[in-house]
Amino acid sequence: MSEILLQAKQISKHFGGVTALDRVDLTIKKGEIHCLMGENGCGKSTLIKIISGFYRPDGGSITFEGKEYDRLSIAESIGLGIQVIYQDMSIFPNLTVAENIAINNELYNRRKLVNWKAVKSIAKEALDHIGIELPLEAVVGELSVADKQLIAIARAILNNSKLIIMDEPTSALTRKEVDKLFKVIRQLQQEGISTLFVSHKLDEVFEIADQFTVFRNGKLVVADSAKNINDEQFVYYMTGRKLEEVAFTPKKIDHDRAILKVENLGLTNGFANISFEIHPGEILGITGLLGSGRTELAKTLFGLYSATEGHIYIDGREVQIRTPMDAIRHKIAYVPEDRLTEGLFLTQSIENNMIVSNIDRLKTGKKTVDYEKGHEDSLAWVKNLGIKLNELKDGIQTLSGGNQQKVVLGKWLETEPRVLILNGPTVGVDIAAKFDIHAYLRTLAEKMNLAILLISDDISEVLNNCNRILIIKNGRIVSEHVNTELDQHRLQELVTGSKEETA
Amino acid sequence: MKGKNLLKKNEFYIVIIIAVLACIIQAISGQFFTSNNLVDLLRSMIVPGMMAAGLFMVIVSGNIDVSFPYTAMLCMFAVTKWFSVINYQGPVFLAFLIAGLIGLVLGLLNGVLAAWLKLPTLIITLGTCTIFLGITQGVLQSSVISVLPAPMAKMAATNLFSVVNGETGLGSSMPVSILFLIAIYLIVGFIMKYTMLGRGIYAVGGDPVAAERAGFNVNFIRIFVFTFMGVVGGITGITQVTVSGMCQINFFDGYEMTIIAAVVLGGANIAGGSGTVIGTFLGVLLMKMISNNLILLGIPTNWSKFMTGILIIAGVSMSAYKSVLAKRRVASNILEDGHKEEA
Amino acid sequence: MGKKKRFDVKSLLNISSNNKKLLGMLLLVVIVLSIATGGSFAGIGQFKLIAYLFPEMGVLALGMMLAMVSGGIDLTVIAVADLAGILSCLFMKAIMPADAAMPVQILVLLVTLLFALAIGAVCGLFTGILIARVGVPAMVATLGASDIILGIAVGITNGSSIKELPPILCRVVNFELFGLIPGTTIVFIICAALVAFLLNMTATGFKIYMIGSNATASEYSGSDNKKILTLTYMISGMLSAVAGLLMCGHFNSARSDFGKSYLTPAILICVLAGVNPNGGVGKVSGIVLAVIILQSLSSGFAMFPSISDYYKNLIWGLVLIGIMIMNVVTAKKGQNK
Repeated sequence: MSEILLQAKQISKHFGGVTALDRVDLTIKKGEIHCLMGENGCGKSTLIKIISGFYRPDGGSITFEGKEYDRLSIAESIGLGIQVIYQDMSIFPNLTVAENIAINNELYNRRKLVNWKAVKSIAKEALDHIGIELPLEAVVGELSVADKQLIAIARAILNNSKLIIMDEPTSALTRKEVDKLFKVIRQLQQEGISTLFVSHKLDEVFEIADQFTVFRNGKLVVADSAKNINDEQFVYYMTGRKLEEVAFTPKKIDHDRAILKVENLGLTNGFANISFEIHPGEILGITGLLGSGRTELAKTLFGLYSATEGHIYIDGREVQIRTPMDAIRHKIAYVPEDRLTEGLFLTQSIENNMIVSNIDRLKTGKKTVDYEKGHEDSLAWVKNLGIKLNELKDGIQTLSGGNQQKVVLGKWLETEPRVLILNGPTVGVDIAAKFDIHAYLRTLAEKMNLAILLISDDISEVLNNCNRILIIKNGRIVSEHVNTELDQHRLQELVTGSKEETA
Repeated sequence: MKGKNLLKKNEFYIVIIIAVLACIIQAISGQFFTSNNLVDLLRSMIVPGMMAAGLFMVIVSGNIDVSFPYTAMLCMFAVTKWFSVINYQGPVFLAFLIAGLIGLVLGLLNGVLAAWLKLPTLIITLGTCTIFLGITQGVLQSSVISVLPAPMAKMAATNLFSVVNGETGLGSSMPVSILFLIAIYLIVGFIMKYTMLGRGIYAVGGDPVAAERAGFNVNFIRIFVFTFMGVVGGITGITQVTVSGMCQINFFDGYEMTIIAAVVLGGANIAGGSGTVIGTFLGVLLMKMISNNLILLGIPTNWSKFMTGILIIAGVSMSAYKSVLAKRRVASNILEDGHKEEA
Repeated sequence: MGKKKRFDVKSLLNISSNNKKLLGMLLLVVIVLSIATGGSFAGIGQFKLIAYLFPEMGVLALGMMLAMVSGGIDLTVIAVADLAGILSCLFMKAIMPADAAMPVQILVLLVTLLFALAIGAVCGLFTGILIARVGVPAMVATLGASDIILGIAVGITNGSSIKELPPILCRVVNFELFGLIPGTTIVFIICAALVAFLLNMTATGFKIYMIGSNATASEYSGSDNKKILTLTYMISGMLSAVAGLLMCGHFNSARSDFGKSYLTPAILICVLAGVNPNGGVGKVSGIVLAVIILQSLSSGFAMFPSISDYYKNLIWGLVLIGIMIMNVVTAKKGQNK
């Protein structure tokens, strides 16, 4: 057990002017389950990509089984027995289950020809190994997220792996599936295979890890045995702050006047029987696992899907929301889940990103756009939201994740919405910006009387900022809670389905 | 389950369309299922069929190539001219070899540019095809060669077999080069299905980032598909000469479009990642069935371009609209899991 | 209003780095060709020639640019130009009264222009719907649509040319303002100004840039992508139709294969102008400069009769590839800084 398998020493990595990793260390012993922890954007993923050979480090070295490397190539890393399961799983949607599982193995063995019989038997063996049953001939694009995750794991345990790196493997899994995954990881441990488990969920670390390492803002904070640590210390290590966010309690809510009311809303394959209402000055949280229907619900409220049943009311009047244009007309705004693909125009300037949703309202009488006014409006939001930038004309890519997210928020606030829907608003946002955004959301609710719908799987985010919380599971709302009656553990249990419930 | 799979397969539908079309042509003209018409059909498939096989690989890898007709044209003129000048008398095999090598160089150029520049390959190959055209017209000063070098003329005169339609007295002969068509489909089919390279082509077309992470050499794969297309283009150029018995600058006019259409009709996704070599063959067959039989169907030749356009648009629209509709729906059933757990 | 003016002047003075590069390139081309031709290239007559030849290509490139800025490509420009040219010429011949007085002739020409624009708009509407609503990738949609459109042109004319056009078209196209600025140039300037106005001053133009940058984010920002994209291809079609009329005036006839050799140059102009083939980036000023550069080059070559016309293709291709290599190399250098 004490033999060191991998040692990363003084690894640094910069992207442009941004330091992603600043001389960090990581030591993993043979057969160890090691948890790499940290908030989004702390450099966890960057380190993984360096170990897997996807990025070249700017400094430092990696020692694997006693041999030192300045950098690893992808092929070298795989050759050494390092397997990575990325968050997006890196599987091929156009290929079959069998091929997805066996393809790395075939490549690793430098095969030139494909033996389809071998591919199938390898895949079957791998699936049996972790005790999963899946149709080998199915095309992966048609399977669920959890199944894709299992395929990625089955693929990783082939090729005599010595170290399996899992980047947030549980984000899409139910409690049952997490249990199954943990069983697999322990089984691998028995076989002497080390696991580097990347997560930001505390209870999982306590449950599975032998050792842990915490990064914050690209720096190593602490590395220790999982036995020597408690909840509070962990939060401090991860965030650099004591838990000081006070739970949000709105001053007064006019319960007779719902801005947005949803009745028995349903979407084929997406969700069913969703009913709730939201009042001015309120922050309503909706939380659930990835693939629980939370994103589909948000998209439906914004007109990206058309609801197949049920009713939506704005100010008590029934409305049809079939396109985002409809939603905007009804003063609904949506900060999407994936900032890079759904929120930002990466080749455009900060200013263009700010005015895009408001462009029609900037038209003067002759249909020409008053860019001067757009410029002034943007400047105002830069000031209000505390966006750090040089010039509005600079490219949006020059900004950090947090500031980019503030731009997306600013873009929507410029449209003067009455209902603001946010889907995972602080994913990939640094801690400072995260607190800024939370504080600003509270101000919006309290001072501007906005109704805010906060959809997130970040338990503490939902708990601290929402006065009411709905839990969504398999496309249905399973329970509703007031924030003051919950704590983090209880909420986490409710979301993943506690052990007692699923047993 | 087996029957369901068949219904899911694109090839199944193309076969049905082909069968229906054949019956319609037969019913209208009574001339479809005649020996000479069928031989003519196969004969006319040789050149476009070979090109489609090469392009199929390029498209599966998520790229596009519009330069191959010009590659074929350049190789055709370069080799035929050179052989005429030196009055070459050796085996015809050498003509194919040299044309293949020239095609290899041209394809390599496309591949390297595509891998290096990472710009839309349509624009890259549009640029190179203009260069190829410029070389053919400017440097080689080519337009027509009516007298072929002896070995090529001999091959043009050799046929595998000939048939004569008893009723009409019209005859048709099957050129030797039909064997090339068969060979290329076997080779491409083998590469795509049974080699890691082929699976890599599918992988790159499906998700280039995932392919790189898995350890595929993505740049090599890109260069390979373009180079292979170049070689096929070169060989096709000489094949065309031996099928038609002469060289003409306008042989391959509009081929880029027709061949892309055939591959797409055959079920390959223009965005890459999917498609089968059998589908491609069927796509070419369908395409040629229509263009060859326009007259039998009573459509004047002047409108054949229009008809192929309609066919292409109809074919691609159906698959494109299917995915547009799919995007509007939630793909995998979130609700279903719930029922399972309840049960 | 005053505010806006200031804003415009500021943006005019702020020449983009790509345009600086293009201006430098233009200067180089003129100097080299002037030296090579012993000074005759820089003469006034030569400049007239330059102005006379470039507009058709330029107008086509403007349409192509709109499609590329929106993240697509419009390969129908040639087909639309040919079809619009043929139909307009037939139309004009049909409605032009014999021995019409000058004002009537001009009126007929204007009606013909409207007719051509309508043809272009209908073609663009067809491709636009295919791309925006049916979801066919722009490349395949426009390749297929150009077969249909060109197929109609071939079908109608049987591949032969339409001759004996009313002389007014030819006269207007070859007209020279103050004996110096050809009519075609004026048409190009008007088109460029309209496209520049669309892109820089209107909400639609802004949205075209945004769709080209990120179509998903654009939809999520509340823009009507389908409408904007359809409109983009309709405008591109109308520009192509104008180019078609110019070609007919230029050749004093109409034919289904006039535009054939214009496709690569049109794309070349866009790439040279700094239009990003992946969408979201491109300026009309870049197009204008790129057109002038290419036409100078081409006019320069025309002064060396020993170089066959066929080499033009070779040169266009080489320049296109060369420009792309240069752009990629400079972009990589910028990253390494």
